[in-house]
Amino acid sequence: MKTTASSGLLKQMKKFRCAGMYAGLILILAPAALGVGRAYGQCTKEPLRREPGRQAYAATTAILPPAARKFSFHADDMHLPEYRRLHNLFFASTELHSIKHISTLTLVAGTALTLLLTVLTAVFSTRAARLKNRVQQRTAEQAAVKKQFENAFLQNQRMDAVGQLAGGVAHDFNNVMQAILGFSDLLLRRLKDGTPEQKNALEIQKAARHAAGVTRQLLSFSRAGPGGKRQIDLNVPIRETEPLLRLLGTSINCTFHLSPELYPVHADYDQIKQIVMNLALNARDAMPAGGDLLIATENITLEPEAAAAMPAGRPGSFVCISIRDTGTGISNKVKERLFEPFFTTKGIDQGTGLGLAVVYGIVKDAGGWITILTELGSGTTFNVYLPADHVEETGVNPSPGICAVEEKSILILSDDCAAGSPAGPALTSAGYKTATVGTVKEALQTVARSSGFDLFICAAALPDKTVIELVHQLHEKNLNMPVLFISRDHTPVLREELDHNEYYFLQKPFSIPGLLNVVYTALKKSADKKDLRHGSYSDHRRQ
Amino acid sequence: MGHILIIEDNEAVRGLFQQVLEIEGYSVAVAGNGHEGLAAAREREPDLVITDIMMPEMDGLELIQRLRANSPGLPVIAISGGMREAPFNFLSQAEQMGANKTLEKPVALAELINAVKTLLATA
Repeated sequence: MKTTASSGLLKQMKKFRCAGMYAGLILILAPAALGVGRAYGQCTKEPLRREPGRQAYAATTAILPPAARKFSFHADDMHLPEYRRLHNLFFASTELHSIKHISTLTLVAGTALTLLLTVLTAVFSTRAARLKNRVQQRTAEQAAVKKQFENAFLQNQRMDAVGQLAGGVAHDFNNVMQAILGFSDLLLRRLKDGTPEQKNALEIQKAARHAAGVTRQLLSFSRAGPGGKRQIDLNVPIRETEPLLRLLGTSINCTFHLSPELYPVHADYDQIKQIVMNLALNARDAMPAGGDLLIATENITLEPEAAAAMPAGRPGSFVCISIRDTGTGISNKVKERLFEPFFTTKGIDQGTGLGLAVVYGIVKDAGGWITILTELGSGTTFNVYLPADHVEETGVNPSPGICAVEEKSILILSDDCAAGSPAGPALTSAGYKTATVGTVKEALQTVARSSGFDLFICAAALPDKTVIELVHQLHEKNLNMPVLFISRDHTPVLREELDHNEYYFLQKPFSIPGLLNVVYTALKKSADKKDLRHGSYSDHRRQ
Repeated sequence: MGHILIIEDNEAVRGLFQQVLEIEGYSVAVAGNGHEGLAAAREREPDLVITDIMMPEMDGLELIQRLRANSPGLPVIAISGGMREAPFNFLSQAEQMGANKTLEKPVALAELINAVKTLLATA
């Protein structure tokens, strides 16, 4: 560009004549003599006069694109027509193509000087254009990232809302289905075989059964909570899907690349199979003429920077399940709605639109997220990130049957002792020493009489301020004692406590294995902290 | 034949189960939630309880715990149509709380009747 502009100008140089030579000289000399920064600083607010120096500042500033954007020329201050033209020229010359305006400037300078001026302008203009492009590009990138995160946030909120709605609808729907199926069943008992009435009643049952199947999938989408989760090696359930995936069709070449030594993951065994099956079925449908299907697993450690690049990502260790196909790819428009329940691109009766919604629900419930890499005509990769569960790595085994409870003592505050809170008996059966009290006062008395507890479980129906104060008092006596709240809901007081302290929380109703698991983890972590400190003391003694 | 207590907040389902079991010859009492169920059980001790899980005021899980505290040997069938909030697996929870049998809604009437017969026979 610069070469073209310069050669074009060379042909025009002969036409240049008169007025403004001083301006050209000033332009060339001013940056060196005055310094760019100084020139900018001095001309930003001061009005321009006829003095040569001032004009030089203004001209210098004019050819500095970033600064030129800010300086405050005022029309009333520009008395010289030549200067006004000069200013307009250079102010506009932040783009290289604007060099053509130089022909409007009447210079008496020789060709060489004008060429030098032109080249100088061109250099500045090129830099300015480059800088401007870079700024624009960067701004556009930032805007795109911001938009991406906003979309992800809105999508997440929308999916949450749909999930809650789906869960509620599914529950009520099952009751409706129960009534329809049950009463039609009663009706069928009284109807004779082969009558139109019997056929109609059978049609009612058939439709209701189909509706019940859809409802079941809706429940899968909106599921939350522990379900049947446990620590598993993802490769095991994924391998189990292999025989089924071979049935996808002879035109689908299915390959498994399962990385050995995967991090353990806290997930539901059957749900992992469901994730793989649903994504694989989706991949098959994206390859109507056949293609390659790859199912891979690998350990991933995400640094903050890498995690930030994914809208739902977070730093840490994860296991990634990748399902890659060589199918048709997914358009951006479809991608935005891909996980919504009942959204389908398939024909009527070919898909319910719940397969990927179920996958979304399972993955989200497991604390993970999904990314989609897709290109129209080239294929799609679904990457499912599930958080690694490092319990085994630290030597902790959550299985209640082999917990090293080591005579740990647990104080349980339950304001519903009469109902027989299951926490106490379950923990006693597991080998813990437990003391259950019904009030804060009793708790304080029990603590005063005892030699101390290793864990405090607050199973109050609605933890209020008095309970929280008790927790604080117990902590004052034993800073290291872990605290586990068991409650049906987060009261505002409890929520604040959980936000600001490292307390454990178990939602009612809870499973016994779930209780034993969290109790074991709390005690183990507390013991590890103690060991760390005792180790330090020992070292001192040895020294 | 035996006295069965049905605790179910959905009126249609409650009526359905009652009708089916009465046709089968059982004596049936009904209640709309856990509290009412406990009161009904105190009024006339049932031979078997069928309870929903998600119910207002007192849910089925709490009801089972309380029933178990007073009558450890009482057969209980838990039936669930799903969930609104965590945790999902209510029927497993019900089993851990002591339910003898769990059934998913919509349950086939024949399956329900079989479960009742089996539990009453082994109680």
